[in-house]
Amino acid sequence: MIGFYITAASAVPTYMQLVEQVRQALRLGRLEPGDRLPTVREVAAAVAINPNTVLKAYRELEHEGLVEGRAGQGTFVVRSLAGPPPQTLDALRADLEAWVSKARAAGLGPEHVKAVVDSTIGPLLEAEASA
Amino acid sequence: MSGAMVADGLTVRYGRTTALDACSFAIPERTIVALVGPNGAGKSTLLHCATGLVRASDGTITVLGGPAGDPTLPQVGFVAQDAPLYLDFTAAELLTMGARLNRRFDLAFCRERLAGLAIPLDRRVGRLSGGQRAQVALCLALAKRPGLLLLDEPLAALDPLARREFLSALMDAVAAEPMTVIMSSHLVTDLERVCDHVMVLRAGRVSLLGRTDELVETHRMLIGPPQRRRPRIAGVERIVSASRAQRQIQLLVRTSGDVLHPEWDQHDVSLEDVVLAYLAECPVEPLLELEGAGA
Amino acid sequence: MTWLVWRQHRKQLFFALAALVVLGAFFVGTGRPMHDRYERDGLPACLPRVERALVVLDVASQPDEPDPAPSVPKGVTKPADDTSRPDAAALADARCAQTARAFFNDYQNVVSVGLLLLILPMLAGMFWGAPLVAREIEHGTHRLVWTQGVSRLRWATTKFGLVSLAVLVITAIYAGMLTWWITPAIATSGQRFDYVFFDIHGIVVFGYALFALALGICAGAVSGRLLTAMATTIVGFVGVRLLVMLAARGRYRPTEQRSLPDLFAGYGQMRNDLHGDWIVASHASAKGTELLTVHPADQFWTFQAIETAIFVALAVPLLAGAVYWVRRRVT
Repeated sequence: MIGFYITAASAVPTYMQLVEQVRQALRLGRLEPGDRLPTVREVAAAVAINPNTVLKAYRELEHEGLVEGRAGQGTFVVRSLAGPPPQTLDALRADLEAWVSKARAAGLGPEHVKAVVDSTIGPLLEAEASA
Repeated sequence: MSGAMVADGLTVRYGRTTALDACSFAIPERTIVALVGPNGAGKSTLLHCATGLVRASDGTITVLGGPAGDPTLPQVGFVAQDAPLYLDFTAAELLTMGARLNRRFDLAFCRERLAGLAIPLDRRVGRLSGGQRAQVALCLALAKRPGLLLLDEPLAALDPLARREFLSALMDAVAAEPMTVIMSSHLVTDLERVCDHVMVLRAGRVSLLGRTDELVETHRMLIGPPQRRRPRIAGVERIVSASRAQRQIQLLVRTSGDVLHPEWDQHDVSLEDVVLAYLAECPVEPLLELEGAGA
Repeated sequence: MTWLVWRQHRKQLFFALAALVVLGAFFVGTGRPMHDRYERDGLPACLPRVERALVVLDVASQPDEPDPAPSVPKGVTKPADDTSRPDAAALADARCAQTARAFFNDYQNVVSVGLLLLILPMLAGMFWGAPLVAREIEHGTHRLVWTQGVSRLRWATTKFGLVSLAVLVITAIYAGMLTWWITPAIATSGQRFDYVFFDIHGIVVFGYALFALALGICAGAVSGRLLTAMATTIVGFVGVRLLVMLAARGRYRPTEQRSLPDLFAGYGQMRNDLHGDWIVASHASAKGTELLTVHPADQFWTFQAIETAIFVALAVPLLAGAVYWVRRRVT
């Protein structure tokens, strides 16, 4: 079951934060097709936000084809966003951990590691997005 | 649809002071409205008017289609400032009181809610924490199954955890049963996460009423150089408030689209920025550099 | 609504009942010996007769026993006004009066406790009346209770009505106990109209209690502050009571003139205090006897009724005013 979290001071509207968290959960395999999302009431009460905001988020997800509302039963995930299977993700994670250990062994502090990572992947992903 | 609360020229005078000055507005049903304004702006007076605690000196106010007061009170739930309760009553006794005084009162609903919040029914409410008392007061109001719920500064005396719990309980109730909620505060940040409408009261007048998402979209902060004349910028419908910071002028404006002007930097605004601007409503004129004055 | 009034004021009711019990214990504790002595002295039997006389023999100047009648020789008629010896009835009356006076002197201290009882109605006004509306407003609970399903009119009339009823019932119990306790003292003092005795026994106490209660409630409704209401109750109650007592009471009915017989003809006599008149003034008449301006003793209950009616008549508009103020009140 997904647990939602809202950052009040964010520039991102609340409903988009919820949408993004559902997408993230789908990507990481924490939500799978067939899973039921919490009811509007449950989310509104748990996070202390306007129920209409939750409704808006669920409608957006429905619009994107990720979920489907079934009358009397709830809102269900119908599509997955998961990319490669978990094993691939695990292998990639292992590679990343190895690289980080190497960088630390070479004498890079934590901030330096993050800077190297950001400065490398930043341009790479942007180049991909604009391609 | 007549609206959850409709006022037309509503004026309330206490002796020589005017608490509400010819207010006219219509609050749609099934909304959650943040009623914001400084102390003394008339927020409490407005809520008291809607419940019949205060009579209008002039103008009208209707609530759920009927006159404010005894005729509509059965459908209006109200929690006054500081959530007044009979402190030597137990929660159970307060529920009994509610059941005896109201035609429609859902006792079972109340007991369930309070049990769910782990609030003991047999302890004098004077011995409960502030947050628990607020929850009891909210329960009493909700048990009427109101179509309109009015809360006067419900979070003011609560610690952050109690505030969150109160808002949770409130959102749960709203999600379960459609109703209109009007809650007042002198801070909009408290209510941003739950409200979809904002009403700003200043010195007894309504200076703003609108949907929160629309307000954030249609307002911008413009920053530019000092001006000699009142600026006229394409796309700006109205300058809400102006201020000066060092050698710059800041204008919070209402727009009808993006503002593209070489002189002005455009920034997004938060709801708090918008509310503060409508609370201040500082005119531009005093900030203009008139010909011949200064450099 | 009835349940709410009971629940809100049950503590006050218990206090009042506890006070009644304490008072009752005091009354019985001091009243039993008083009544016993009263009966032993034979006063209940002899007083009703004595009360009818305007003057009694001054027993101090009388011999203990009447002289035996001197034998009248045959053929001599007894002089018509033979006041050489007092008759037995008059003597008995005089002794009764003397016993009564002695009784009253002995118990005067106990009875002066009655002065404290004068403030009881005022306490009802202060502790039952003043908080009724004022405390709700001070604590803000009026914003809770006036936004439930009952109109302010119903709230006010039910609350005021039930509390008034309770006050009247408690006053009745109190008045009953007090009357039993004080009867010997009043009967032996003959001063039923006296400022303390008139005020604490009979039916006036109902008028005072209702008035004080109404005053407290109204002051609380208008001011919205408990202390102000209590202070107003004290000042208003004392002021009105003094005004009525000193200025109005003497005027309820016209006075009558009573002329006393010559006190010094024959055996010494004195004015009978036990007669119970309210003596307003006394002059010497042309004949050298006393001429009294009085309110007669049998007017006592008329006076009580008039004074009670005055205070009830003051209470009613105060209560109505309180209801009006509650309904019109801007919070």
